[in-house]
Amino acid sequence: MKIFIYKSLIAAFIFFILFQITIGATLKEIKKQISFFSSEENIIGIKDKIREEIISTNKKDRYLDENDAKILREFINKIKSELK
Amino acid sequence: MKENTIFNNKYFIYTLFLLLFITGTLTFKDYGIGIDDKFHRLNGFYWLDYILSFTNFNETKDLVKLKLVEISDYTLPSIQEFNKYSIIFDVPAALIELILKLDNSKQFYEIRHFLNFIFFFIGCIYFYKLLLYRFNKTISFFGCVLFIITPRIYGESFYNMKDIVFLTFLVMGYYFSFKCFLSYKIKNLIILSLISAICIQIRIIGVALPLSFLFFYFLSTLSKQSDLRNLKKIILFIIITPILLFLTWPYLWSSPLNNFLEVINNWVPSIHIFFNGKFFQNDFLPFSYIPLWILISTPVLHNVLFLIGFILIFKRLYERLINIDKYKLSYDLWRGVKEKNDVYISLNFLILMVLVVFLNIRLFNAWKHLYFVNFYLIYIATFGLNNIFIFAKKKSKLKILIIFLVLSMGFVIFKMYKYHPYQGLYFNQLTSDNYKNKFEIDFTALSAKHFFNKIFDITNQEKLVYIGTASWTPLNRTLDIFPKEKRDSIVLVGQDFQRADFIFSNNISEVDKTLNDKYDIPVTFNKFYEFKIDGAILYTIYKRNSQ
Repeated sequence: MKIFIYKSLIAAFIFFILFQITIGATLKEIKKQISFFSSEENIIGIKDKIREEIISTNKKDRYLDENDAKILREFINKIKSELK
Repeated sequence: MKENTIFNNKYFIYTLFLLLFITGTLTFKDYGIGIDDKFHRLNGFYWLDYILSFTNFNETKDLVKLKLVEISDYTLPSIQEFNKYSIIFDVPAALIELILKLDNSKQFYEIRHFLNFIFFFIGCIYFYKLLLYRFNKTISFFGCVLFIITPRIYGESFYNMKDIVFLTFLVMGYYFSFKCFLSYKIKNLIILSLISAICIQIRIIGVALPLSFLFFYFLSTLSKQSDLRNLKKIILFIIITPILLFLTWPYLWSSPLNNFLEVINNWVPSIHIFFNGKFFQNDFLPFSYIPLWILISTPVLHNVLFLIGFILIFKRLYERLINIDKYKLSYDLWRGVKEKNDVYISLNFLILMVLVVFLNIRLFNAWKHLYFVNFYLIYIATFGLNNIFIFAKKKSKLKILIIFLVLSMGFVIFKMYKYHPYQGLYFNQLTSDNYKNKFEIDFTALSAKHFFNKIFDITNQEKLVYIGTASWTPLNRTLDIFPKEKRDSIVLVGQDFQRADFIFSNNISEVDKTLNDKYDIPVTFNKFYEFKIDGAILYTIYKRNSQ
C-alpha cells in the first residue's frame, strides 16, 4: 500500500512538472499574447503608430505610388460604371 | 557527530543572540519608511476599531476613530483591499501606539520597526531550537548564524510586517511539528493548531503547514501502525485549526467561508514588473523568476551550502526510495525521526517551489512574498554544512573548515555593514553592477527618506519645492516622518512634470515603460544625482534645466 502511494505521488508530481513545462508553458504564452494584444498599452501603442504613419505620409508629395494610383483609379471607375 | 569544537559552548549562542539584539536595538531607527508602513498602521487601527465595537471602552474607541481619520491617504488602497490582511502584528502595534501615547509619526513608525525586529529575533531563537532537534550544538550555531546573516531577511526584519512575521510563525510551526513527530501530545498539537491558524491568516500559503503535517502523519501511519493510536488527537487538530483561524481573524467573523474564499482569490495585484531587463505582466512571470532572484540576492556561501545540502538530501531520499522493502524494517523513506524531519522540510520546500514557479502566482518586489522560503533554504544549507563537517572530521580538516566558515561569514557580515541600512536590497558577488540594475530594486521605497534629506540639503526651505515622481513609488508616505515645516516645503506633483523642479525616478513601474510614456523624463530635465549602493541604483534625481 505504502509503495503504491509513493509511486502514485511521484508519478503525479512528475506528470505535473512535465505538463507545466510543455502544455502549461504553451498555454501561458498564448494567454500572455492575448493579454498583451488586448492591453490598454498595446492599443495606445497602435494608435500612436497610426498617428505617426499619417504624419509622415502627410509630409510626402504623394500619398500613393503611381502604379497603385492607376490600379485604384481603374478599379473605382469600373465600380462606378457598374453602379450607374 | 560527536562535538569537540568551541562552538558547542552555550555562551556562544547566548552571545550571538545578545549581539543580534543589541545591533537591532541600536540600528532600528536607521531604516527608512517602507510603502507598507502606513498601510499596516491603518489596518491595525481599522481592526482595533472593529474589535472595540464589541466592547464598552468608549474613550479608547474615540481615540482609535481619531487615528483612523488622521491616517487617511489618497495613495492607500480601499478598505475592501487592505482589510484582508492579518491582525497579528498590526493590532498589537496599534495598541502599543495608544498605550505609549505616541503622536509623533517618526516615533510610531520606529516603534513598529522595533516590534518587527523583535518578531524576527524570536524567529531566530526558534530556528536555533528547531536545529537542535536535528543537529548538534556546533552545527545549530552555524545554521543559526546563516539564518541571521541572510542580508535581505535581516534588512527586511525592520520593516516587513507581513513576510518576516510569517517567517517567524512558520519557523515556530515547524518547531512544534518536530515536537509532535516525537510525541503527539495534546498541548503541542493545540499550539501547532494556533500557529497554523496564524500562518494562514498572515499568508494564505500558510495552509501548507497543517496540510503537510497531516500528510506526513498519514505517511507515518502506513508503516507504523502504532501511530494510529493518535488518530483522535489528529482529528482534534483538524477540528481546532479552523476554529482558531476564525477566532483569531476578525475578517472571517462576518462571513467565514465567503471571506476566506475572497482572500484566496485576491492575493497580489496585477501590475508590470521589471525583471532581467524586461517588463513583465506579473500574471505571466517566467519560470526563472523566483530561482534567479534567490540566486542573485542570497550570499554565495548560503547558495553553495544549500546546493550541497539539496543534492545530498535528495540523493539519500532516492536511495531510500529504490531500496524500500516492505519485508524489512526499512519500509519507509526515512530512518528515524531526524531523517523524517529532513524529508519533511525538503519535500515541503520542493513542492512549494514547484507550485509557485509553475502555477503563475502573481508576485512583485523581488521574492518578498517568498521570504519564508529562507527557512527551508537555511535548513537545507545547514544539512549540507553538517555533512561537510562529518567529511572534514574524517579527513582531520575540521579546524581549516571552521576558519574558512568564520571568514566567509565575516565577509557576509562586512557586506551587510556596507549595505546598512539597505540590507534588504542586497545582491551577491555573482551579480555585476550592470546586471543589478536590470531588476526592480527599491520597491519598498526605503531610499525615499534619503531622497528627501538630499532635497532638503540642496534647496532653500523658505521656498516651495515641487517634486515630480517618475515611478510607482508613493513618496508622500515617506514624507510623513519629517517635521511639519519640512513637509510643508515640499509639493508632490506626481507626473505633472511641467510644475516640477526635481523629478524622482527609480526602476519601479506598474506599467511597461517601453510602451507607456507615463514616466518618461522630459528633455527639459537633466540627471542631477544618483544614489547607488554597491553598484545598484536606488534612485535618480533629475533637475529642471536652469535656463
